Amino acid sequence: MISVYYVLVFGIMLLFGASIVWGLWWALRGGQFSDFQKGAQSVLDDDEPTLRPCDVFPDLREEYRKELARRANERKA
Amino acid sequence: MNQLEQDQGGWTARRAEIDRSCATPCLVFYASSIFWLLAGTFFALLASVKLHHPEFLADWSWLTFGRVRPAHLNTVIYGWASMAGIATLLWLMCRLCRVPLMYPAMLVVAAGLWNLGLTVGTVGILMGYSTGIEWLEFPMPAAFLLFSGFAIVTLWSVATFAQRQAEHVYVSQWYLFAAVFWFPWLYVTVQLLLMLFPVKGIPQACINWWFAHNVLGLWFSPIGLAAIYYLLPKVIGRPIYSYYLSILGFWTLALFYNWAGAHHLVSGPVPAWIVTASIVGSVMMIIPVVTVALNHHMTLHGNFRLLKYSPTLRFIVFGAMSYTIVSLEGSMMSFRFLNEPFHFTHRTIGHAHLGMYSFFTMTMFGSMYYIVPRLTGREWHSARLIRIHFWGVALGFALMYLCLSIGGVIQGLELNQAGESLEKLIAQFGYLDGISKFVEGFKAQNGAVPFLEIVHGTLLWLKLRTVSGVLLLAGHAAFAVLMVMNVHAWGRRHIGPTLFHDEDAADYDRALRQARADLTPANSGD
Amino acid sequence: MNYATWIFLGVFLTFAAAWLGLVFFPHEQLSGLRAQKDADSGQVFPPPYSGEALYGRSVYVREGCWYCHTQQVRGGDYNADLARGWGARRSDPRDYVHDAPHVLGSMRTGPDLANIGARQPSDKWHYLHLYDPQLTSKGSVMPPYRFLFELRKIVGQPSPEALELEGAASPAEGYEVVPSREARALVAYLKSLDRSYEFKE
Repeated sequence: MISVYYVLVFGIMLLFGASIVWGLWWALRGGQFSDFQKGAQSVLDDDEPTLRPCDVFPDLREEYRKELARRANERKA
Repeated sequence: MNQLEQDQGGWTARRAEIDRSCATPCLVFYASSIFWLLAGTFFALLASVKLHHPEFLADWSWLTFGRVRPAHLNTVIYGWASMAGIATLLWLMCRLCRVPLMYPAMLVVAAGLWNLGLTVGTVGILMGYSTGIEWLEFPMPAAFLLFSGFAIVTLWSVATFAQRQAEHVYVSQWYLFAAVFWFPWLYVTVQLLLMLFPVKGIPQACINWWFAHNVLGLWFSPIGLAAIYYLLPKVIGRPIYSYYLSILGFWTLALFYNWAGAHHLVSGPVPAWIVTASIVGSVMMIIPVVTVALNHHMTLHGNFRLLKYSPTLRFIVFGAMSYTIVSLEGSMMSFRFLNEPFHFTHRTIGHAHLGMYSFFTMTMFGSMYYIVPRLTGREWHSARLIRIHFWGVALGFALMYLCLSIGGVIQGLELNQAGESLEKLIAQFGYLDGISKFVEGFKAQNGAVPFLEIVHGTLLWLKLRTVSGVLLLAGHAAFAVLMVMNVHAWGRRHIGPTLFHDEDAADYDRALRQARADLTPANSGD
Repeated sequence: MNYATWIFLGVFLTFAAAWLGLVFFPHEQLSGLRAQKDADSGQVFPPPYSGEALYGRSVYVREGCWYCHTQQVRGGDYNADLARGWGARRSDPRDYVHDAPHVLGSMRTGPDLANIGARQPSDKWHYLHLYDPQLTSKGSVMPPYRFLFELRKIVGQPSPEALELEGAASPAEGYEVVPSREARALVAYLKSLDRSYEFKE
């Protein structure tokens, strides 16, 4: 009886391990690891772009905007 | 990049569509998670009071300590943390795959199944139907309901991934995708081997700890890290410092974490090789942890002032730093010379909360501050309540961790031959001399401290822990109120698809875009 | 791209290894363990639980005793399990062959119970301790389990198993406190916890 469950669990583990290996293989083949620069940028886009923080305490909005402008100027200078 | 720019108008609209499609199921999951968080905190407070006032509510069998404690653990693990995690996972998955959630109603069904499972399980534990296996106390029918709910989540994640419109698989997706497979794998394995046809004795303990530890490292940690890797760049407007390190961190976590569980059985009645292997795995965890810590720190570097402004960032950074601390502490505590004296003390409870609370829960709070407004289209109503939430839970947690760590270390030293209890020595010699005599006594193995003296020594710390629980409850209540206000449209309406501050965006956006244009050539190679 | 094969193999083996190491091999190594029968005396070690003790064990599991009490005497150089007198020897995997669920425990808010039956063989002590820990162990933080006892009106002669309560703890005149079936089973289980026998190699 116990062995049936073990075979089942063993099977699940094999499937799981195989899927991990397949995932790595797929990622390497598909070039997922070929351009890290682009990968890192992929979550930031023109709508929520680099240098545009997008979350703030509601009542600190004014102060926050000034801080952002100050930082933008600092970098420009 | 070019394609993105062309597609910009389309993507803005699609993102609004994605957020709309996620709104109902994610809000149902989030709302349920907050309900279970409050229930879990309530059970925690009961259990905490009972530990220093054993007569408190002692005559009701269903509220005895041995039932309230697992009710706390299971409601916060499967109710709060998992449901908040699932909502975050679904939203991140859709955002990163750039496709709307299909048939969202099915995920509401999943949330229903999950809630039903939790209700059955929690009532089951209180009624005395616990399975008696730590982290898996829910009776079988509840486990079945949880699994059915989760099957839907896994299927939907796979389907979303298969339909994805984004070319690149972002690091968060690796973590999320792994998590939706790891959890059912762990859960099915333990249900088969411990519940359906239980093995007996020591193999059961090995499987138990393999599960209980992996559910942290392979289910909660990946979701927490995925959220951090997505939200950190979003909130500060800067990409991850080293994307390469983040990917390396994922694969090394996947390789080493599996092994860590059996360090709960150090020097116990298990074959020594299992424990040794587990200690090695635990120590190797330093690699993924250091890559993650370095990465988060360098990404944030120069932006620490933003912590003042962004609730999301404040919670997320709190979580990210805790991840580093808890993991390094965990690696250290697997060593025999630290594990043996301190493992069976309150310090272990402190360590567990450093992981589940300070890292995961704080990260989930941060994620919810970012995600919920995008689901409801409304900002958070009250900055004061956000502050009460943050400081309540931050100070509450710090107090709890300190109490449990200090109390636990004293308890561990006394349990292991300190000769005389710290309390007695301090009463006799004052603080400084008392403490140094106490440590000397432990080093010299002066002999047994009577057990009831050890218990008495922990009382102060346990009482302070109850105080910390009240602070945490206050924070959670503030958050629940915020959530209700947001969902019921008591907050301010905001315009536009997904941005937090569209109404403000126009006037300062120009300056920032200019700054960005100036920076672009130096910043990126393309 | 050639060593990709090795990477994949490595990844797979690491995954498989952790599962094999913590789930499969422990089972392979230990599930064959059986209780040992002493050829001379015919006794079996560890002795199987009596029906009463097994029922008591379910009460022990249900009430979550194992959240505060471990049942393992550890070896190792950095702890005092043996020195505290919690057992005569280190616990052995074979001690647990009858146990499901395992109640090894993870906390020592209270003392270890692996050999409580040997340390504390008195029924009377256990009943008083369960009814109200303060009666036997002043300052304990163990919850009282009064709900495992019945307050009964004395009809005729007082029951022989009634608790000998004194002072403020004693029930009203004409009443007595007797252990329920569950309390009796729980005490039977606690008293059966005695792993002082030795295994023959």
